[in-house]
Amino acid sequence: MRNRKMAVSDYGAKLATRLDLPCDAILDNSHIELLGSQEMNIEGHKGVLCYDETLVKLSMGAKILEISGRGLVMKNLTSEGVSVFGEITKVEFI
Amino acid sequence: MLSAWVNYIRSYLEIEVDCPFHERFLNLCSRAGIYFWDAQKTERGIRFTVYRKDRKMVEQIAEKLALKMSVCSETGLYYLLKKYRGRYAFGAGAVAFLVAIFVLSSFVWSIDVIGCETITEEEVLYELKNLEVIPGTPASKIDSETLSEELKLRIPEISWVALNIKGSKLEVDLKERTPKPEIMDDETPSNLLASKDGLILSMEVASGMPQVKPGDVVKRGDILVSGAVESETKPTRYTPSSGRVYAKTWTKIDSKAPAFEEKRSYTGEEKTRYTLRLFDWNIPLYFGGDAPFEESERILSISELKLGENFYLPVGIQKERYLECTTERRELSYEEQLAICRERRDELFAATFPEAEVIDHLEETEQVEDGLVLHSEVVGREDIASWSELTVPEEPPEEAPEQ
Repeated sequence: MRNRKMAVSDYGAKLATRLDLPCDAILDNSHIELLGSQEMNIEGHKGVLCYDETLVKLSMGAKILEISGRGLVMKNLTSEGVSVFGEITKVEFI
Repeated sequence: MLSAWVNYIRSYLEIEVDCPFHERFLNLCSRAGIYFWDAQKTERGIRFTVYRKDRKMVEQIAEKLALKMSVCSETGLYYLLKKYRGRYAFGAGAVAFLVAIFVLSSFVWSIDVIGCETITEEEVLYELKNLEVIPGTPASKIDSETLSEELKLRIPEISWVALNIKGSKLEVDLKERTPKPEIMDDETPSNLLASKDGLILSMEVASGMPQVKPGDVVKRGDILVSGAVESETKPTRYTPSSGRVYAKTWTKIDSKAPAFEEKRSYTGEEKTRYTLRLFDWNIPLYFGGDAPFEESERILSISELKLGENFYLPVGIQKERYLECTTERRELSYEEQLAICRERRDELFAATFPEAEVIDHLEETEQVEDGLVLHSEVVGREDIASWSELTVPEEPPEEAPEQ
């Protein structure tokens, strides 16, 4: 099942490359935007796993996005996206 | 800024939920489509802000998870109106204020005239008054097109005028007519006459027959250049004359200087009086109508009450500052009087004959009761040629040849 899913994603990636389209428009990829070290906009997350002033963990489907920093505040949390404000020091996929 | 206003109108509240697993609570809220912002972790749980319409849904989720929920603050128009729900007088006052603003804004409360050069603002305001446009006229009664046409007819110096209503202010923007230039008639036969007595110094004749030469003494009215060009072989031709005739002239000017000079100095004492201006009425905000000092200078300033940039209200404050001063009388010396006389004479000569060049002055002083009189004769060099139309004598009818 997992292999089949991977194959579909591979085909999608190839199609996007051939048609010169952005990957996130065709695939179910997330879109992450970092504005300096003060603001981060994440689209396409699957839920909040951990929320603290120093650590925010977001489920991105297959992976987990871990944002570390100081004075982190979540703004505009919806089922599609979230904005994280504060002093971001580290962004990591685990 | 805009979103802040939208949030205020939609009204929002800050909620604190006591829960150790606040991430789950947040996920449930986002999945339920609740829009929230400023989520902050607290000691007991989480604090966030939601719109008023989502309050019930948040309560339901908190109840489902058996969590304690408390409202920290409520902000917005809904809560403001709710707070003042029972205060009818306040509501009536607010409505009355809006009605007053609406009613007052439909009148013109001040008139501004822009673009006056030779005509005065008072003249324009006077004509507008005759056309029944004064502060207090309803804006709906002002027909800009008709009024501008009427104003142009009444003041012929105006070439273009526009009446714009800006808030409660009527702006009269006008342009004055450029005076018609004097067209030099270069076809009519003419003479150049002497405008003053003088001694001819030089002549630059462009057309016509010179009647004088440098060194000649002429009297006022003498023909300097004649338009009648006579010839022995041909009949007399009549042409326009043009040119410049420079002559040495003597102009008598009397100037006077006073014996005393009055100098004003401020004592440093001052008093300020305020008057409330309401429509056309002036209500004094002080006691006693006389001037506060025996001798003083009055500085008047008027500040009109306005809302925003253009919405003038018919209310204003007039400020009168009285500065006490004293006048000192000082006797002028002969030299000082003479200097004043000379200055006045030169000013007068320059104003009367702007193109003349001063060569010399012949001066004689006379001491009178209240000052000094300087009798001067200014010797100058100036163009004394003045244009005068030449009447061409009618030619006698040719005699019919005898048969």
